[in-house]
Amino acid sequence: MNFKDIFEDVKMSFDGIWQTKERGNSLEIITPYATTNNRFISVFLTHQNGSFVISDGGWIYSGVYDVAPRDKDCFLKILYHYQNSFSIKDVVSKDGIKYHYIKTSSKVDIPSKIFDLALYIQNIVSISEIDFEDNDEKETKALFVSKANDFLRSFVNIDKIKFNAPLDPNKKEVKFNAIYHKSHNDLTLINYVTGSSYSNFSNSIFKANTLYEMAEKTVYSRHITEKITIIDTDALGFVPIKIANYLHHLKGQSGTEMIEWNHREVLKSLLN
Amino acid sequence: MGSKRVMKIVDNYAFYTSLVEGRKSIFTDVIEVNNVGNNVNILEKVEPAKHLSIGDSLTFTVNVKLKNHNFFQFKLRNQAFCPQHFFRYDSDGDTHRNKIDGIPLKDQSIPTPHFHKYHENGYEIAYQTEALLNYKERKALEDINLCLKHFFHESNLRLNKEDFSDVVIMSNTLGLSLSSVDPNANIIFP
Repeated sequence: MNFKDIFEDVKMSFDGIWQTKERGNSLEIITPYATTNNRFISVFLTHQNGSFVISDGGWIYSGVYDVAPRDKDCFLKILYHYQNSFSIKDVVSKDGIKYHYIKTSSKVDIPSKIFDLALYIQNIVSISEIDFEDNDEKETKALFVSKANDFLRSFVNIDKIKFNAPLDPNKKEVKFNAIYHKSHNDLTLINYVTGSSYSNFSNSIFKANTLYEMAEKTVYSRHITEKITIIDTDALGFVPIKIANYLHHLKGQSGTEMIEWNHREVLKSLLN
Repeated sequence: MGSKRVMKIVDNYAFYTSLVEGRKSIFTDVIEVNNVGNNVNILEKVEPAKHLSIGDSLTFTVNVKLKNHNFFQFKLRNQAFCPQHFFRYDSDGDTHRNKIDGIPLKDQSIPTPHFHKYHENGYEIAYQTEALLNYKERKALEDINLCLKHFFHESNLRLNKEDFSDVVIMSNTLGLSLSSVDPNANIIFP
């Protein structure tokens, strides 16, 4: 068996993948590195202020590779590990797209930098395919959202309530499980707190706190007359002795009404 | 996402084939693409469509990058059959890998522009038509309306019975066509 011939074929096959596309002042370089969702990685080479820049073209964060990078702690740890290992920088464009890039002033370093950036993109895109949320947590959240939504629908005028809605259409990240419009200028923000474990439950409390804080910084803040947090007392993560201080803090910071799911009937008087 | 195997397609590949090959209709002469969809950087318009022999309701989606109108996608979906788009065209973007045993590595690379459909193994594959492999025709198909006609032919889609629709991008504005093909343009890398 002549393995040398096979090796030559391997080398030529890899070589055959490299391609380029002219893109204005940049050159798109299609590399032979592919992701787990079967995309060959492209990097974009340009020259700016005396340095060579190799970027991802904003393709990771604008969704060209058909993945959305996660914001989970475990994902971010991996991301930072790769970012540090390959010395990758990032910059955000005017329209909010994050670009990953490497700069060098020396031509001789370009192949090595392209190698690093391509490996980085390959890893980040592939890891973005992993669903880090455990199934128990997903099911706990989905079940409570469905139960609480159904309960609210059973007595609230459906024209006055919006589920899973942003307070400010321009700030889609400030989204509440429900927003009740008592009148046009009289809003009640409703957050559900749940979790399949003590740690997930605590995180859900912290998230509620942050959302209330962010809501106060929107232009709609003067219309918020009430905040209601519905606590999932059936959840496995509901361990009163461990979470009492967090709930106390949430109430103190935001002024929210705390309604325990096993006392949900109280909501009927609050939302009518 | 390309790596996910769609078992519904594997188990019903004859149905899938008739979904792609059979005559389909949409009903809007001029498709106005004016608003962003889920992704704030991408304009989206979803039109109802119908498969004439199967009878299923479909959707036909046009996506256009807000800052680069030459970067567009056409997509067909049959939600009742499977949530994924069953047929798609990408004018620009990443190079797809058709990871199929028996195909040499260098031939697994399918750059854009390209169509996407599903292989009988349930994985999404990309391919280029004769027109897309020809440089002159490929350049001409950068025009979204010429390309829409090409998509209509390739997917057996028509406006009503025999006609072709047109696309108008941002008809609610002055109609400036944006085509910044260089993704690094206007970015200062500190």
